[in-house]
Amino acid sequence: MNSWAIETRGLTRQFDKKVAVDNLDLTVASGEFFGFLGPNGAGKSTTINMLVGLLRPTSGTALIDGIDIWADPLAAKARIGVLPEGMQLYQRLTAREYVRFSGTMYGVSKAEVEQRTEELLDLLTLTDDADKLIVDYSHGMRKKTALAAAIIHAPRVLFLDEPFEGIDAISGRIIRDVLGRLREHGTTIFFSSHILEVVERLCTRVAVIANGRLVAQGSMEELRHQAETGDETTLEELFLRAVGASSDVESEGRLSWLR
Amino acid sequence: MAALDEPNPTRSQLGTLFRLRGKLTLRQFTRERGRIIGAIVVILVFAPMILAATIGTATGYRTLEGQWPTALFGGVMVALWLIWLGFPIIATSINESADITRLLVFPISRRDLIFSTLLGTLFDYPTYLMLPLFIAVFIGFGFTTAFPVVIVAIFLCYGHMVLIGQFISVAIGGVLQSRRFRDVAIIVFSLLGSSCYFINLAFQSGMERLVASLSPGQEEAFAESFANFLPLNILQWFPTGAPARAVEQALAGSWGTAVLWLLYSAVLLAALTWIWFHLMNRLATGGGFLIGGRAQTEKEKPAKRKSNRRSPLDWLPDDLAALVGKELRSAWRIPQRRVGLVQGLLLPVFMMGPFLFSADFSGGRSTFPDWFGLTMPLYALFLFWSTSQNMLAWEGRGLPSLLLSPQPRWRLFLAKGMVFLLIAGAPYLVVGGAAMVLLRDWITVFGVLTGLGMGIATLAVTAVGSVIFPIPINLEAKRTRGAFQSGGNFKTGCATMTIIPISILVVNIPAVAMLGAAFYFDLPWLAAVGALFSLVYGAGILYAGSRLAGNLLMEREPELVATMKLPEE
Repeated sequence: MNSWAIETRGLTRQFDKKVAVDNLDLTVASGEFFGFLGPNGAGKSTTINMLVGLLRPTSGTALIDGIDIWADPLAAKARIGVLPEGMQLYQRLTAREYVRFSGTMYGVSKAEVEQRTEELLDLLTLTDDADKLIVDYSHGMRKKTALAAAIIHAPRVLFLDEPFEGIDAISGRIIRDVLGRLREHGTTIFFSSHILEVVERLCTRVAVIANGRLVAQGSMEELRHQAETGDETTLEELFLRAVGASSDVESEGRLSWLR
Repeated sequence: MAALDEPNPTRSQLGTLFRLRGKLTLRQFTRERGRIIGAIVVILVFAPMILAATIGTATGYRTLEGQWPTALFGGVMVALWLIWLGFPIIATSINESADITRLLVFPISRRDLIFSTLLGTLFDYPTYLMLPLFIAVFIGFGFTTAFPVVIVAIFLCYGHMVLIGQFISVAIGGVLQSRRFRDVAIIVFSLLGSSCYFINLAFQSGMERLVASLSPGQEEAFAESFANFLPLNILQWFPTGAPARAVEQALAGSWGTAVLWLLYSAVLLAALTWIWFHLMNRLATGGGFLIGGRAQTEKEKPAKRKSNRRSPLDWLPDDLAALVGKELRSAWRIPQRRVGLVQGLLLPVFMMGPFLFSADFSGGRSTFPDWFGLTMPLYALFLFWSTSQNMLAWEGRGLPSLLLSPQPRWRLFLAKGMVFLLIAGAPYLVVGGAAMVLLRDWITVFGVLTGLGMGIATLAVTAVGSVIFPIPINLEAKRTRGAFQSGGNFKTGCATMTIIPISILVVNIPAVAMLGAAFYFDLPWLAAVGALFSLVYGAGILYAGSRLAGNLLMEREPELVATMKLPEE
């Protein structure tokens, strides 16, 4: 038995003629805070959906804690928590009801569910609105509710798809702090985001995907080494280089009509 | 350094805006082909009605005598105006493709915005349905000396009608778009539709009573007061009634008064336009709607005390209790499901109404047919089927969350089965109990019990069916008319209406067989055994069905999540 919390081998997903994820080989060690980066449409959410059992791969395998999620989905799902991109919550439950429900579904005892729910709601500053229906929540409140529901069972592996998208600074700070605590307690975090500063600050290792293919993987130092750049190179520069993107705005003649 | 390009405020953008409206309207049909079918259905249903109304009113304008042609004109215009006023309330928005607030960021003149909005209404359904009635007005009065007044009157009426819908949308849009209004509207309108039967009965009996209560003298007085009634005296004060008064005055040669009435209507139109535009500006600049625009500050609620009371669900294992609790909350909080609950209670009244209204209970016994008890299983099948069909789709956006949990899938269906047993079984037992009391025969008693067992077995079929033939439901549609909007394809729809009901009948044959035999051979003991068997059989089938549905779900989860996505997701 190896120590990978997440391992994919040749993971591929094809939609008609478009290959969204192409032969992805990825390993994430236990306890790592793993950043998964890529431009829009690169295949990040498709990969996460395949890893958590919501999208069937065309080929390849995905192991969570050594368990093939497609061979033994319930055992694998018991080990993970997910904050999905669309935050598919029960709109007509309150945050308190939803978090409790989630805890019970993951087999947490009733007393523990009660205690953890109140603690999470308090920590995520949701207590005052905890008895409102989710349908009436703001984006940030929904995100925090989804996060509470994703971690109530203390998952071994936590998948976060764009957790900071559309989040204000205060909520962002709270979520960052919660993620920091999870990391301290050894939770493996698989994290996709467009906000590279956050990834650079939080993640121990990073993978970059472009057009469905893995184009770079490693720690910041390893990425700099791969790119043959200096220590001052930012993640943004490494990312742009890895995905082969450049900005032509500075080129001669572009936008010259902006007098 | 040269100055920035100055926008040219003198150049009219009307043509561009009009083309935009046209393009957006066209795109609705090219992007959603289903709308073409919808449009054809609307035309087929409404066109004959509109045609009849057009011919009828045109004939009325030309052939009626005295005050009645212009009174009819005023009545039709006011009725149409009221319909346009009510449109936003039942459908939220009349305009299909124009959101003027998006245009307010551009340097477009106020005149262009207003005229493009009014002209853009030519692309809306209600306009197509209204224009023939204006043609009827022209046929009725256009070939008279009042021609110029008629033309102005028609334009004023049209302006008032399209503007009132816009005005209502902007003024009370906050209320119309609020979840609470939508929830209430879904329930009220759905129940209103299904209550037409009762409304019709009440109206009919009311009219009959009124006519019966009139003596011959009163009838004459009633007819006379009707003949002396001058409807335009009331209608003229409405924005679209005033033009009718103007036409009447012009026909009588009082041109000055006619112009005054037109002026009255025009001033109202200008005032409404001004208010509407300012409300629109307010909306676009973050001021919110006039009514219901901002979230009301909630009253401080006392902190909830922890209750030590035991929940009625505590006797269940934790996971089942959580699933059952969630399902019960959804059944009550999702308005479409609440409608289902209420309709489940009304259903027996519709189904058994003819028997109940015609039955004679005098002498302690009813005149119900002997076989009435045999209809209870049929009622149970229909009630349980209609309540529980497509059960997985009611998870809505929460479905992926549920499928991310490591919960054995068959337990999801078992919990759902228990809830549907409760919410379909309760009205069934109320009706069944009433039938037992009224009829007091063994076939009804055992018919009710057998039906209950069959209802339970039906839940197993609908559970499996919900995995194989899922149809997504938009639980959070913004508009009341889209509340039941769903996806699914032709094949799924056909299967839902054929394979599932047939399967329900086939699965239930063993359960009902003994009841049928008992009735045929007049053997009450056999009916008793059959009822017991049906209950045990139903429970067994529900368990087996939950297992099967759970296994099928495990195999199809990603496909099901993809199928359940609504078009806008």
